[in-house]
Amino acid sequence: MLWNDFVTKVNELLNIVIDPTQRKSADKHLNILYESTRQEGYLCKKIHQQESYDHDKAYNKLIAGKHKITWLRIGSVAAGVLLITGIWGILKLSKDYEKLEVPTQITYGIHRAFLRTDDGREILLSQEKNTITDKAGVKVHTDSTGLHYNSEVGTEMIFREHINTLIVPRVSEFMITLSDGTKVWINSESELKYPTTFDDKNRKVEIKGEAYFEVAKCKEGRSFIVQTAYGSITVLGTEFAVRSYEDKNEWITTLVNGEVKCTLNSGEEFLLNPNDQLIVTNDKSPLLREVNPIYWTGWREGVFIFQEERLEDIMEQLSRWYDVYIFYGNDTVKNLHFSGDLSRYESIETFIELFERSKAVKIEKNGNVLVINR
Amino acid sequence: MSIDDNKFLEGINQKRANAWKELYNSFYGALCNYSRGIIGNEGNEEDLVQECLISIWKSELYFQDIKALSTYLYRSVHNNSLKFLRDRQVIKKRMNDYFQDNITEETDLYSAIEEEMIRKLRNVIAELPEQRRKILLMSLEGNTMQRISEVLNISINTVKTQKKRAYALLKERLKKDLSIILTLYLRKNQNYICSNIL
Repeated sequence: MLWNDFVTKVNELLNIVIDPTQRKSADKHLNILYESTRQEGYLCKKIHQQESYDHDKAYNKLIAGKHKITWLRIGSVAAGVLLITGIWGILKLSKDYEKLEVPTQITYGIHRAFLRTDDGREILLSQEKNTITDKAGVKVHTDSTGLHYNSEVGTEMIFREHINTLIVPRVSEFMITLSDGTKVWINSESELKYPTTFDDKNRKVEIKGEAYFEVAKCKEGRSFIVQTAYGSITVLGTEFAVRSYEDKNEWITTLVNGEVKCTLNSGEEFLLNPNDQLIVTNDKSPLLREVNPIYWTGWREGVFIFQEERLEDIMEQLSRWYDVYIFYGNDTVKNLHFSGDLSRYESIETFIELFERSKAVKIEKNGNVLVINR
Repeated sequence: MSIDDNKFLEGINQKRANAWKELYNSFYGALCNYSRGIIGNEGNEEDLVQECLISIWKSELYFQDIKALSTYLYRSVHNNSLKFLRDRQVIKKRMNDYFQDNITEETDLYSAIEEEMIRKLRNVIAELPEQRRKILLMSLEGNTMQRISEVLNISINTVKTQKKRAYALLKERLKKDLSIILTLYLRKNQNYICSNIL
């Protein structure tokens, strides 16, 4: 078969290209290919050609499946204004984010967020590829993966205390690369407050809601501090997830890699190792336990994973991501426990079907309201 | 096969989002460029590649190793591109080129080999700092150190040391069969069935 030696031949060609001592191959076609790589600029041209394709965009299309992510989904207001401004969708919107969308069918979340700059502007960010310069001269890029601060530009800022807030509403998610290279994935109904550049002493951000941090190591050993309503997390270079929704009165930190120190508002300190989870609530004493982090970080990879979780807790996550409101026929149904693993980019009908298949619950769908009964 | 490859492959087979993201990151450009080589500048290569990837995503295909995966990717893009040419009667000229000008499946195999070689090279040089990358590429293209030092306006000694380091990395990667460099982690627990436990 012609294609049987494909990979072997690839490696053989690579060997000839890289290693000057193995100039000749028994395969004359490979020799011809090798000769063409010796033309000036040929390799660069080929590399550039391959890199000119937007793989993130294609990947997002795949993940989104038949539900194409379009601007229209955000609602006619946004789409209309976008046509007028034409450029990267700088929109001034009312502060009432919740009323942005009037759904006719239940949709799942999309990549979007609002950027509130410290001069009070509010900008709707989408997947459009663009570059803006904020008033401090800091260059910011947005593309299909999120918002990115360019650490090479403007590091010698005078406006060090330039604080922005990234607001990710319901039915949304977003990703940001901060000026030090730290990456933050932000889940629905969450807010991240961060300086556009970090000062010499430490790197400090504030989170409300749920986020996953991949903290970039810093040469000077400056620590990275995440402030929540219940306390702060100090890190040196690590990956962890934090969940701290105000209406839940709890703060959950899950460490994936590295080491972090959680400091409660009371001053009490906890040191977390990988797979450790710290749960802080108003009424109980803090709980430090070992978990499989995947259950707390799956959302970042586009999946809902839950294991023996209460139905009410599962539904709470779903209702932040899908544009849906949940009501329960009675209280006992809230305490049923379920396990599962499903893509976040499936329609909610798939979830409903799976729940109903368990025969434990009946789910009635009425517009974007779900009523759950036993 | 390295551990990273195993994790990656498992992710691909089980349709895990992070592995697929890596697949796109690594292969998409190479496959598009390959398809464009076959269909010409018609601008349809991205659709053709996407079609192939989606059909794998939706399929029950199971790949034993990275070799099987990469061969399958290029072959299915090859077949899909030919199908596109056949379906498009409008592009008769290219059809004629293709079927009369001695362009055979063998020719296509070798352009796939070339794209795949470039893709692997890209994966390795992505790790290099910019200057070292430039030096490496110029040197691979057969330029002398003298010429490289002139073009990049740096001393011959710098060229010499940077070149040495770049080649050292290449050789190291070659030893590992130039596998895709991945940083995926394995999911330990895999319960897919939504079951009621109460």
